[in-house]
Amino acid sequence: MDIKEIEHLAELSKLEFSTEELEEFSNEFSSLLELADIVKNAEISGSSFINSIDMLNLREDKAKDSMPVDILLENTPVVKKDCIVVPRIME
Amino acid sequence: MQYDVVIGLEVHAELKTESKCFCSCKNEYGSSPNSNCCPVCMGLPGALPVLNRKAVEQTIRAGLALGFEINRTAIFERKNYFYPDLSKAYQISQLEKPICINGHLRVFDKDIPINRIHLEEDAGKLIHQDDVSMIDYNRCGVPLIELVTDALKEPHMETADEAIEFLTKLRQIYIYAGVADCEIEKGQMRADVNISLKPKGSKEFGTKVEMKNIMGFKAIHRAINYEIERQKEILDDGGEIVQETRKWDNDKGESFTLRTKENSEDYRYFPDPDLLAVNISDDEIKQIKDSMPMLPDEMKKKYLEEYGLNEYDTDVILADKEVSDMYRDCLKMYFQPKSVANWFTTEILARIKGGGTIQIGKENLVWIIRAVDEKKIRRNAAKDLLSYIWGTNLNAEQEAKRQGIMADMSSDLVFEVLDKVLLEKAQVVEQYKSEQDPKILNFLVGQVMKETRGKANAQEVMEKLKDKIN
Amino acid sequence: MSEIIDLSAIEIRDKILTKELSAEQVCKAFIEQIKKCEKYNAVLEVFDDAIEKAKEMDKKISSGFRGKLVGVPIIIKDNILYKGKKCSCSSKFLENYIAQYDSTVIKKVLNAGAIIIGRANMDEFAMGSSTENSAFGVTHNPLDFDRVPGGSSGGSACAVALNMCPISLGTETGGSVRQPASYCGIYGLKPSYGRISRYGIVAFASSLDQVGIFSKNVLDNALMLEVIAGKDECDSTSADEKVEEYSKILDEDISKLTIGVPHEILEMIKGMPCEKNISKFLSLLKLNGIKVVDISIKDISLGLATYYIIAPAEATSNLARFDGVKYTTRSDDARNLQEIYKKSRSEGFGREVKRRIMLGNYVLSSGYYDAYYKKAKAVQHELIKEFEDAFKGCDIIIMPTTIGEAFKIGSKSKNPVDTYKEDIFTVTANIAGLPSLSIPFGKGDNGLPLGIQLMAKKFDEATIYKFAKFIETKIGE
Repeated sequence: MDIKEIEHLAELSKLEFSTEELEEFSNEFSSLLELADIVKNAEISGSSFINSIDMLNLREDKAKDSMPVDILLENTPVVKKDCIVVPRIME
Repeated sequence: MQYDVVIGLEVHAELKTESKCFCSCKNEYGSSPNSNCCPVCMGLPGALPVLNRKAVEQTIRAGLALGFEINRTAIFERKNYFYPDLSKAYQISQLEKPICINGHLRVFDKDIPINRIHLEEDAGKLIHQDDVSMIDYNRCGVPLIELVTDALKEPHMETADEAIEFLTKLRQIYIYAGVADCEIEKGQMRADVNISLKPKGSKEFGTKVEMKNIMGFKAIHRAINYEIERQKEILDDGGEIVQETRKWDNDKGESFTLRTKENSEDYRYFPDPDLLAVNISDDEIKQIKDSMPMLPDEMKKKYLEEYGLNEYDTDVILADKEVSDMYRDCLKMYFQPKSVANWFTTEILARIKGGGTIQIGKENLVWIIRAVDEKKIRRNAAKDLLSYIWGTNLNAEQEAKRQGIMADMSSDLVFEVLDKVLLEKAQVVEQYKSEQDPKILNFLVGQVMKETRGKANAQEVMEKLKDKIN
Repeated sequence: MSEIIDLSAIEIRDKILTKELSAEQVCKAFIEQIKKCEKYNAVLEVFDDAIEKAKEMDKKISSGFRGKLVGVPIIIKDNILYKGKKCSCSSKFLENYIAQYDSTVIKKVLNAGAIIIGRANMDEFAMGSSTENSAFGVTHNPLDFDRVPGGSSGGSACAVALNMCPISLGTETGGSVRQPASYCGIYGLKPSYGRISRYGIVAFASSLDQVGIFSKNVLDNALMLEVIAGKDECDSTSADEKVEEYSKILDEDISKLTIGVPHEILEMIKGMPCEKNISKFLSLLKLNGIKVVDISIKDISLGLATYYIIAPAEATSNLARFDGVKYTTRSDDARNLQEIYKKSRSEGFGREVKRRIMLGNYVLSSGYYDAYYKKAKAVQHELIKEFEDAFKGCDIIIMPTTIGEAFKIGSKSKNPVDTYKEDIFTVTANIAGLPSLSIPFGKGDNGLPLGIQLMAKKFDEATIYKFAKFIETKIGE
């Protein structure tokens, strides 16, 4: 896998890597994909596995108490007026 | 050069439910920041979504109101992207098996095909202030339906007017079906528009440009016309349309590029392993169908045929469900469809124009309408009375009595009745003129008293009659 | 004090109920033991209110409180939320994260009267098979300090093996309870998918994750399962299946059971250290009159690759919420939103976690989704069917838990796929959603323990426990 593709994955992953790390990943990925390709090349067709529930058994629409806001934001790095704060986002 | 315009719409509407889509927090607008939140809303580690049955029902109801097929198995997928208003960094949505597929909506003389309605969760809200953006997750997890028109199928929407008619009708249907309140200013209904142009008659579609989150129908109308013109100019100059997402700036009356296809997101959808596929049975669909409230088209027929209203009054009353509901409530108490309609299309609408609500009870309103019809109150006095008790707890009848506006037959109304009697009994009047017989005058007074149901003062009536005749 | 820490959970409970011991006394004894074993780095934190909680429990017992785990000290893996306590997932990123609510298992364990005394080391976010991926240092094998205890629930396994608690909780995604149980010479259960609520367990791969149980004997394990199993309104994937009183049915007759051994597995283990051990086990079964049959799970060899597609894909998405915005540590160097994301995540996550996030994004990204993720889900479906078929001819399926004994610390860190191969025998139970118990049986060439997995039909933990109890009493060494 080339560095550009690794960089794309890093962007999707919101991760930063040094050039050396990117190269290491690039090397590792070939063996990781060798493993994954066993599935890709397997002679199996058929549908995905998925569990289901009858609509009847879904949760009833009843509101319950929410979490007190001081507990909700207990671990939040920056808080202002009961909101989570990030640097201003430019659209 | 002549072009065919193809307009597609993606419309989001927040569903009416008591609790959120995937947790039991209140689905409520306007609470203090982050007060309607739990581990699920906040995307805390270990939190898991549990689907609200009502949200599924409401989605099915929306679908049935628009002639959709309902998938018997619905699957929820994760749409992965990073943005601060999305607490989990993925939105639970639907891709491969949405709840509703293949519907349509009549717009003027076209049946516009609709590809799907799927159920998803709304994102939180960002408040931009000075150098920070503040995140409020109250809206995070509110059930949201996304409707996507099928621009690949004929017929297409081609004009801003058609798009607005689509949205107006859709909004009305959602409101009448009881699935959503669709209050635009609360962000409960939001539309993305995509537009492409192709040479007239060409089979091949042009490059699509999307415009996201335009607030309000007027702005959408402007944005569509702007975009059509923008693309025309580019194509006329021999240029190429870039596939992109644009943002409409309503203040400036123009749009600008938000992102192009090259840096478009890869959402990496996959079935949410925390949720199960939902089996929807024929029985459940039938139950929802059977409990469907009357929708605007059917209601219109009723107004025209049963109530004998004209098309204009019908449309005006139907445009606002609150007005329409109260109109019918009033008819239950006083079945004079035209007379009651007249009050709604004038007095009531004037008072709620621009987003107000009806602030008078149906009992009071009916009392006033009936009093005018029965000539117990003059029309002008009734309008004043309506204004006076609007927004209060006052009783119309008591207030009318207190103000002494009832049976005030010394003025206009007596004259009205007088004129009517004089006209109807013209021969008798002529007889009196020549004979000056008090018996004849008494007869005429009697007629006026009868017409006013004894509310007028007989002595006054006699004086007035004398004045009039002489 | 040493006799207290040797006791089983049930013995402790009974002695507390008869006032032969107090919960406080028990709690102190185990905390003492944790301190003695500090060098193994199995326990990240001893909860400072544990003794206080034990004292309260003594009072409650005096006023008539009863519960299946009264006064029993428990250690939990560091990815299980216990309100008010740190829950770091052995990650720098969550180093200071305080649980804001109780997971369902914690609620159940507390309701049963247990005292939670500490949290155990693990591979960061449960990704690994050795505990070497912990941001807080490796845990050492209780029987050989130079070796790993297995992982990812290595701390929980080591804690039980060294008598730091009689029962501990771990979590499984691809073998993270059974493999360390095997390496540490104890019992480790991975229940059926859906058996135990995942609510409040920091997710790794949601469709595979389950809480698991470590114990020194079958009875304690069974007791814990009956306490924490069951449908939970907060977890849509938890199953509405009957939970039996497993601890009371262990002595039921198992002589009619048929044991299946997949011939594909026998083929696979040729030349592996576990080969001899399996043969020995099977011959002992036969000697005891147990019927052993040859079965086939045709595509079992696809398990590992399937696992290493599904698990990273789900992990990528599950770990995206750790972004430095809401609760994880925010990078000091971040000046704008994108930097908050990228710097916080790059500083917060360890190497293996990053690797799996990258791999997960690869298999989900457009153009690859069908070939990898969707295909893997189809293989999963196939494997489920193959197991269902196999269970038509037997009640228990037997496999080795691991290839061999615990490996040396640092011996496998180079090539990730080498380490992934550690999971070769365990991942299938996760993929097929089946219950599997690793029981200690036999020793390897270095005299270290080996384990054997007993698998049964989905939600048939009862049969596994009964059979395990039979082996424990009749065959075990």
